[in-house]
Amino acid sequence: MIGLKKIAKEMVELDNGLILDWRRAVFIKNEKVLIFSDLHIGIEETSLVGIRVQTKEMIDRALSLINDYEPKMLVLNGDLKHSFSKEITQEWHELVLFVEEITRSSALEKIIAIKGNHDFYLKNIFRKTEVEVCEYFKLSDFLILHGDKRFELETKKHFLIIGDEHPSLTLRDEVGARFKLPLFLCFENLLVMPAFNKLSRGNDIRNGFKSPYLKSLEKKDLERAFAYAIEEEGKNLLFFPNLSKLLLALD
Amino acid sequence: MEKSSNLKNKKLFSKPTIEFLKEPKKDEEIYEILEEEIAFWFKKKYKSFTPPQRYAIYEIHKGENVLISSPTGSGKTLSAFMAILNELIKLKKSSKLEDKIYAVYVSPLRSLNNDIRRNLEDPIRELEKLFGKLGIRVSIRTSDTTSYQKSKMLKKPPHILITTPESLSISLNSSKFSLLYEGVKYLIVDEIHALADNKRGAHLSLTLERIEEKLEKPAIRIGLSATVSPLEEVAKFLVGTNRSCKIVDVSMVKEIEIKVESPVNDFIYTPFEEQQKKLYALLEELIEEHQTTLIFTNTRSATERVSFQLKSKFENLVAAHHSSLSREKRLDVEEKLKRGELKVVVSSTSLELGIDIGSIDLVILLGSPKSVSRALQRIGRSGHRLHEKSYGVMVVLDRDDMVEDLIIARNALEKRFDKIRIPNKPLDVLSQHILGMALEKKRKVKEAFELVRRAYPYRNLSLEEFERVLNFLAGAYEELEARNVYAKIWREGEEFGKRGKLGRAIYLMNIGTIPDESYVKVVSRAGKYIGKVEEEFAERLVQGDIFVLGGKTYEFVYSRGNTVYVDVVEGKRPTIPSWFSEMLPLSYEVALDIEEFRKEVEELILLKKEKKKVVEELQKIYDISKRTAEAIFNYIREQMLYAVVPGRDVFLVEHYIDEQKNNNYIFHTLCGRKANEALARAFAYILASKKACSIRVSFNDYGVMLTLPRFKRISEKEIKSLLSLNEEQEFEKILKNSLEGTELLRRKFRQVAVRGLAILRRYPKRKGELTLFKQQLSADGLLKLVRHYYPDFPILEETYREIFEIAMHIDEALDYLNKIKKRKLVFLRELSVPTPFSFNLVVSSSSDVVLGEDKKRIIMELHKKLMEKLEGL
Repeated sequence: MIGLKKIAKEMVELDNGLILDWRRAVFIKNEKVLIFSDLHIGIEETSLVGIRVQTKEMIDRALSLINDYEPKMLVLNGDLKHSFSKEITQEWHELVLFVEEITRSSALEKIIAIKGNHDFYLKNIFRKTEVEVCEYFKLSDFLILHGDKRFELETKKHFLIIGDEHPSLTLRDEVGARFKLPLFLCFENLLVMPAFNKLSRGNDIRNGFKSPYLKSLEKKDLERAFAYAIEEEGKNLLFFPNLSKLLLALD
Repeated sequence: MEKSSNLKNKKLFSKPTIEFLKEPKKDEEIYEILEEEIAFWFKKKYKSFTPPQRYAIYEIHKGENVLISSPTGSGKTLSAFMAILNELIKLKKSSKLEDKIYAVYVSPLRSLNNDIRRNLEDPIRELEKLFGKLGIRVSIRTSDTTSYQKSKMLKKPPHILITTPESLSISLNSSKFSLLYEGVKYLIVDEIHALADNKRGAHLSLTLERIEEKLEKPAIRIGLSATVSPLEEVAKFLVGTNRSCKIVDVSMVKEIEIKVESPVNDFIYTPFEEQQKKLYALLEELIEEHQTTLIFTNTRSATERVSFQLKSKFENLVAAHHSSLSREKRLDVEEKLKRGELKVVVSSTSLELGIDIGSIDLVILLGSPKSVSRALQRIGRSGHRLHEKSYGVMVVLDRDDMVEDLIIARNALEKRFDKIRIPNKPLDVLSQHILGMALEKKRKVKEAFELVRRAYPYRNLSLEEFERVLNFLAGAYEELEARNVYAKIWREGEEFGKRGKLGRAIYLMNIGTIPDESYVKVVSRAGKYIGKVEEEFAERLVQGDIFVLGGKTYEFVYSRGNTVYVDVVEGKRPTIPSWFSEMLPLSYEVALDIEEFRKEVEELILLKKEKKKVVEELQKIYDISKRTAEAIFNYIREQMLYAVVPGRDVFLVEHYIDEQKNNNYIFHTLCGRKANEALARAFAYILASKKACSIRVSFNDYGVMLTLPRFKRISEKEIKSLLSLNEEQEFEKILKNSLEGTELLRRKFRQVAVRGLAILRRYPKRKGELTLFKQQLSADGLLKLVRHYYPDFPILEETYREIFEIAMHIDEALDYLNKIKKRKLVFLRELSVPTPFSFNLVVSSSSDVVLGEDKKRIIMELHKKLMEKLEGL
């Protein structure tokens, strides 16, 4: 199992140099790369003027993370925009605004956008910017991809970082109160990130997995995996070891 | 404008009065005022006038506003139309009949056809057969009317326009069509009781005032109503403030007989299967004794279940009728009924209103109808001709049903009707009309305000409240632009008007009062349809969740597409709250009567001591069978043996610990579900904050149950302090706090925001409708913003008002609290089994979870518990 050490209640560092942050981001320490996944800009209705409140919140959060970690590069890991359609030009505009705002207010050298299953026309949208669009991104031993499709390129030594799943966990008390918490899922060779957008509906792990990377996992992989749940109000990352036992305990 | 305000008081300087008519006119007196053609026709066809006709025709002819309350089949619709036809014939004869609308008839039902045919088109046709062409035109305008038909109406306006409340308000904003209303003389509102108590009616009341504004002379308003109370309120709703109205109350003219029958003599110890067997035996017996029977159940699933069961005995002489059936299927059943081809029809609420269904000689109410009006409405479907008696049998389904049925039957016969509740100045509806008015023409604020105040629901509207809605529409709340809420009108000083070119399109695309709700089907794995739940609720389900629907418990297995698949799990306790409820609420008045009745029976038992004597007495006083009387005796006596009968000077609270070791506190507050929801949430909020835990609240018509986790308890002192909470403002404040972050608040806010035009379901240039999910997202964002910047935002205020006055009945809750604070508290602790009176509340009630203030702490604790469990595996 991957070793980990908690730096603070809001951050966890894994043995392989990945830092998990309660603000729904991953930082690759040695490479100084910050990763967000599943922005889903456009999830609210189309706005007629100005920028949507949700996008503004994400910009603020992104800047605070950039400020804390001072990354050289930012990777947006798929599902940057929400709708499938070509016609939502407002989404394009807002996505570009997001990127421009971040570039302007920070010392970032590069932004990479990885295509997700919602991201048609991404190259077109970013054509006037410096954003590089690709299907996946390799960085030393790490391979960052969206997770909805399998690529025949990972090897045993690669550590995968995927999004798309929006994993979440529902805690229930005896009287029936329910609390849905977004998760980081950590496996031997794979990390699943929570969605950066707070409004996306999470996928409860009890209902099974969506991603082909997760569906192919076996019981022993689950036993060696662990999760971190994000408790927002208190800015806490709550640890849950042994995903296999966790699923049983949740029943 | 000035002339009409002078003419609005018919006799200058006299106060408007609402009065009941006491003296019916004799036939000759009525014939005297009728034109000879119509008098001849009537005499030939009907011989004599019915009671409502005896009062109404004369008064309408005199020019009085009239409210007619009488049962179906008593000829009230014809009373209205006769007076109008009479007037039109008079005009025709003196060549004064012009091409304009003289009468507008509004009905909430889309399928008006049969009623109109019988009461208007047939008479006209028959008169023409006798006297030649009359040239009186009747047209229908609903959402089904094509634009071709509408343009035909413009060219040759109908003299009598038949329409729905929605179509009427839309047509007001059609520049050409609205001109046709300038000559209106009569405004008729049918089924007014089904409109007065909801926002649709409030919407209509403003539409009527906007029409009145165009008239030189005030219109004569005619209202047709079923039996409700108090009729004075309905009359005021009909005519608006400061106008007079005469009331014709012939509601009891039709003879009605109601019996309450119990299939078993004991609901507590008789096993379920035997109850079912005896129930169907009783139903079959009743059906066989009669020609055609109509059975009303309270839910769609019950309708299907019962008709299915009866089919094994009566085969295709049985049919089910409910609103989810296709129109063809429903029409088919209605036709078969009229032709007498069916022996039994089982319906939920779809056959309650309007449509002619032929002759039914028995109505069975399966399960309590929950209110006197509904009972009368349903039973009134039998014996359709006036001289025929209406006969209804209320068949008891469970222990609480029994007393409910008895009280409702008694109250119905004693004319103790439930009180109608007219919505109090709904601001979202007002918002629609302000936009509508602005679109018509430029307005003066003061005049528009006065117009609105003439509508009865808005009689107490303050200028400040009016201006707040006006300003919202005019874009005064600037921060809202970030949330897509833009100005739709302009306001400058004391004037306002339409803004931009899209205003009209927006208005027409978004007008209406019925909120969007997306439902998901619930089906058993065996394939049986069970019911429907709201989409939001379905989305949150996780495998293993057990919830209550339609009074029964189900376990969620999986969902596919738009359907949720469940297993029936009888007897298991629900694990998640299911605030969604199909069940009709018990009215406050009946609830109080039930509480009193239980004490009366207790008194009788203490007095007579012997079961036989008590049963005999009950049979005598209430005219019920021995079996039914025994069932009542057994129920009350069981509670007496176990604990005490709550009511009068005793207030009962029980504490019982369930198998999960949770602490359940049951408050026997018998005040109806709506008041109990308010009590439940307020109590739970106070306690949840104090005890730093979340509390599940369950409530039904009979009481409130608070479920606390294992190590959290409530002391007697704490209970007493809860009960002393009866100051209105404080109560409201606590309720408001308890609603924060809840699904209920989010959902209601969305509905009100959409209705109030803060969120647009449809927008010109945007394809299709905003999905429910996106509507809710918008609403959530808007709510956050408004809370922060504009706590006096009219949409937010209206949301709370709708929750406090319509979804819950906070006034009844406070009234009841006032009653119980004078009672002695009986607190039973550590029970391992709840008392018999708590049964239904524990097993199957609506519930929700109230969180205390510190969610963080709860989550941390849950994390800890889960880790402990994990480590033990």
